[in-house]
Amino acid sequence: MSRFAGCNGYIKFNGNTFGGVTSISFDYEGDVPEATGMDSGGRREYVRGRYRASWEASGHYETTTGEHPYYTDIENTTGVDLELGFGSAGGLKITASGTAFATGLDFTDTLDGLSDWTMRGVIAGTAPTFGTTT
Amino acid sequence: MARISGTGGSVDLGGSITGITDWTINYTAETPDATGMDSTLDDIVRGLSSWTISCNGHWESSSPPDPATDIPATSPFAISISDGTNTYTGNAYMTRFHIEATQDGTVDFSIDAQGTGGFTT
Repeated sequence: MSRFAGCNGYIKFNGNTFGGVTSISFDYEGDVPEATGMDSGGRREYVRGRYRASWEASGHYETTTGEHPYYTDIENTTGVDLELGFGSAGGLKITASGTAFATGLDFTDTLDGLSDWTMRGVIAGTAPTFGTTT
Repeated sequence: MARISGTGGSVDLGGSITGITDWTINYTAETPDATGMDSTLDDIVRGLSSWTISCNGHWESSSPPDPATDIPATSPFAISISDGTNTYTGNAYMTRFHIEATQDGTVDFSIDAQGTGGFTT
């Protein structure tokens, strides 16, 4: 059995490895347009349509330069590199080379908590690569 | 008593997946309304049927799901889901792969798939 603790995850976005990360997630979704006809035997049938990739990460704001998201990440007009690591060595690594865009960035601060952030985005144009963390 | 423990379940999405914690099949049948003025009670006919599956699990490096292949796939893959006693089979497209890690949990995934065509038990 080779399962993984979440505490070894990481996100590298636009060359920066963020500190204080508390969660990361990735979604890969595919459409299935319906293709049912009167010759389908009374059962709905589908074909593969478009598909898309999105991601999200949250963390505590780490003041060290390069270890937190920047508002300029939202303003990038071209895609950047993204790497998501799920687990220690042998876990799932998802990468996008110059095709990741940030589409949302939230900063929050609470009286009894910390200054935190949540960043979300998409991978566009080219499918992400699935590999193994080292 | 002859009931089935959940521990014997399995999911095969074109390849056996380990680390599964739960799975669900939803098999639905539509019932178009066939009520007429000559009906004293609402009437229906049997319409189209369809099914979806979903499963959750811990990411397991030895036999994980393969979203890189299954999400873009233009042909459905054969699925086989079992509770250890009953096995359900058909062909499906993966419609969603989600993976998540939290600092105080495990690396977990979830999968949704849309069945296409028939479904057998």
